[in-house]
Amino acid sequence: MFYLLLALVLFLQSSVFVGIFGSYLFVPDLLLPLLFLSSVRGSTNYAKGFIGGFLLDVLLDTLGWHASGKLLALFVLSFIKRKFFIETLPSLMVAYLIVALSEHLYRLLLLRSKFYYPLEPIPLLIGFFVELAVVYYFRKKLLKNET
Amino acid sequence: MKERLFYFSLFLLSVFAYLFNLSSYPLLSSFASLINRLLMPVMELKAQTTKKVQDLVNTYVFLVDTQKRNRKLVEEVSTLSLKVSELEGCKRELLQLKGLMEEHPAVEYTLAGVVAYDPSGRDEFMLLDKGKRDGLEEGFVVAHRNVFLGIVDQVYAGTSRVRTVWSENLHVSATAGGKNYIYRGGFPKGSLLHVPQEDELKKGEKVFLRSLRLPPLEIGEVYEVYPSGEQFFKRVEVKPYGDVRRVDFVLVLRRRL
Repeated sequence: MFYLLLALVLFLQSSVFVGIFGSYLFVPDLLLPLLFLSSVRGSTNYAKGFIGGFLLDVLLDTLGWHASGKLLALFVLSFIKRKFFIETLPSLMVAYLIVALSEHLYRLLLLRSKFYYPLEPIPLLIGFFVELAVVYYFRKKLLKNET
Repeated sequence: MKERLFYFSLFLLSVFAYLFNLSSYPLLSSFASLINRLLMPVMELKAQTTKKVQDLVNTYVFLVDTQKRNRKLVEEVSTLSLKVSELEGCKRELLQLKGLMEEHPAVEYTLAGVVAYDPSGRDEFMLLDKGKRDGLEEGFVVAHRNVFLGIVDQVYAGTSRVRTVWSENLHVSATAGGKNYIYRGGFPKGSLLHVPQEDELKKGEKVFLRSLRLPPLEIGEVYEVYPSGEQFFKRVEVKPYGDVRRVDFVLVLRRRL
């Protein structure tokens, strides 16, 4: 199931969303919510994170950019899980906010250290809100199923 | 702990690969080209999908822009058509005024605008925008160019009412075929009263207003002549020339019949 979803997310993120948002820098990172939701309960699965990031890098020709970002996000998630309980929807959203902000900031810094690319805050914010909406919707569904 | 160390080293390797563009190094380039060759169909599909989605988004944005521009243009067109109709109205009035001024009569006159028509549709009267204040009096003759339109029958302070050639209450002296008759207005046709059986009035004969103090004004033309059942007179229908509804300005000749 995870790998089917991964294939779908990779296809969307590397082709469809790039067409809509104009640049892969502003595309909503759907891979991150997928990894976050799959690792928020139980043990953190770094392998899935690395594979997902690596495949996305191959598709976007940015070897190492997404892979390192996703590993960093999972490190942050694992740290948060050790220190806090993520049982409710608000705590989950806060956790995702921290993870996503650290991951996006890291990737932006990595990109800016290598290239100059004009940053447009509005598409970035739109992408970020799309990710939040995805996490909110699917987590709510999962919580409903659990109860 | 070992697992975390392994992934941390993978993380460092990824950062290194990104910063130093490892895929272009000679040792790794053959591996990278192999992966590229394997993924070629996927990459092509990806490129095609991106292009198609981009085209769709551009088309959508273009259509939305076009719709907005269309709405603006429709508003502009309606404003302009309103202005055009106003200007056409002005042009028509100016042409009428020009026509009136070119053929102004020898007698003293007042130029008046028509402000209202008979709501019954029979054109029996019309209201002018000149009245007592402008020196108008009852009985003054109203004309348009050389056509007789009617007679002022009621004068108010700022307006006056004209009894037109279409009204059955209008009776004036008229000349047709060299003889004098009484013209009585009517809708849709007026008539000449008391025309003897022996008078040879023909269809199309012009009927003029008879007046000693005014220039000759046309009332209309004989439309039909019927042998009446009466012993002495025949019935003569007259079609008046005055088209009240086409007239925006008239000349009020400051003289009674």
